[in-house]
Amino acid sequence: MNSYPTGDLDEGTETSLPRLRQGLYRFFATSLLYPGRAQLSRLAEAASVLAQERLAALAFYSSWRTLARILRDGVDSEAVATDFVRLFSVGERGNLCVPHESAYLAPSRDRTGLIVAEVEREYARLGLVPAAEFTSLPDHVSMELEAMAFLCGREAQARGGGAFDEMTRVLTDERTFLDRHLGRWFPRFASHVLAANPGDFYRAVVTAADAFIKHDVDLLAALMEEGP
Amino acid sequence: MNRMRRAAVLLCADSAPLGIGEWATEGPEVHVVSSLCGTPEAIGQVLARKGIESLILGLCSGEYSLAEIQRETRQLGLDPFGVEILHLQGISAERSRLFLSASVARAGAYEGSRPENAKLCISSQIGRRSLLKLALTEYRCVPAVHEETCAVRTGCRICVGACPHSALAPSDGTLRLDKQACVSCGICVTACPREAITQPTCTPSQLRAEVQVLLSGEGGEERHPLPL
Repeated sequence: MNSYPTGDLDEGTETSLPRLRQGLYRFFATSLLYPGRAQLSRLAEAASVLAQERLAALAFYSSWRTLARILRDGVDSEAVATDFVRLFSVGERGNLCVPHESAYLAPSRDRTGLIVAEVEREYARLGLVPAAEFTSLPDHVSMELEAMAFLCGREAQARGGGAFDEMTRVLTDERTFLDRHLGRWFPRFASHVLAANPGDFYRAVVTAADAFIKHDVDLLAALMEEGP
Repeated sequence: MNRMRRAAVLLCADSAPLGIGEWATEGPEVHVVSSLCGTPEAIGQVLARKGIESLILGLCSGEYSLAEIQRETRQLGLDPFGVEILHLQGISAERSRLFLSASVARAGAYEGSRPENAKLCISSQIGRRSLLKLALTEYRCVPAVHEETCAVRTGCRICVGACPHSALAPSDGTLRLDKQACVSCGICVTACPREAITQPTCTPSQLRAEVQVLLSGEGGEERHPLPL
């Protein structure tokens, strides 16, 4: 979680939207990793940058606003960490919310490796290699959200430089990744988390991320219909 | 028993018939705002921190930006699809009161939308460039499919056949709505025998609430015919 858009949003250029999307994908990727105190305060800081009034132009703002408010008011890091373990690591009464694509899209338990391999192939095609320090499998929700953040950053660069062919390519990659991977399983993951009675923080995170991803699927469809 | 929602009615002074500002001694708070149609930011200025839960706008016919109104209502923490907009120009004070009362009832019966209900519109007024610059974005409400109750997995295709715009299609074991093709006609909503498709801006409870007021003539001084 290194950079968030500031100038791009203020100026209202054609890179504003991809930069904003990059920031939001990165934000959600971080918020679904194990939460430390420092990480939560970084998220609160990032939310204050991203919670500008201009975002209210977009439909997912309502759920984003709730999450930003929770972070602004301050969260109990220990309670959030306990909730994280309960939801994503241990589960309660067999209700574990597995944050991996293969848990939702593999045809059977013994074939989850096929999904993981397919995600890995997709990363390689996009020129991405999972960082060595990231110990989860590459189909982890945070990794997939980071991949989308990377693509949005690439789109912003292409738009900024007026590289139309590259823009078309990147838009296609974004849409493909959402259609085949993240956008296909995240709604089910979000429903699963919400059904597991999460605390305010994770309830707000998955609700906002779900609204944002669904909005992004529509946005990419609309942008591609219009041309880059 | 349902709690009454805290409602507000904002009327554009240019279209509001004389005397309408004194309407409603109990129930919603009513504000007559100068040039409301041209300055939607007045919505936020008038209602900020008032804890309003539903909003009814009486405007001049067509002379306003829906995208701006949606943005303003989102900033107030309201769902833009729950905002009732009436065109009052040329309508007598008496009839305006009746229609406004019916809209207050209708807004009170609104149950909220889901991210799936938002259809992003790129039109000639809101082009791709302004979208990328985060300027203005307009959304229309479209139906959404409830996967839990939808029987598409068992082979049901009733709504697919009923849609005159071919906007519904089974895909990957779920029912997918092509939002760009959908015109919100609502035929699929009525066609589904399992009530698995909903359109939050036109629910039976909203219609019942609205029609009840229109038939009772509350808000007007005498009984009125339906505004058909």
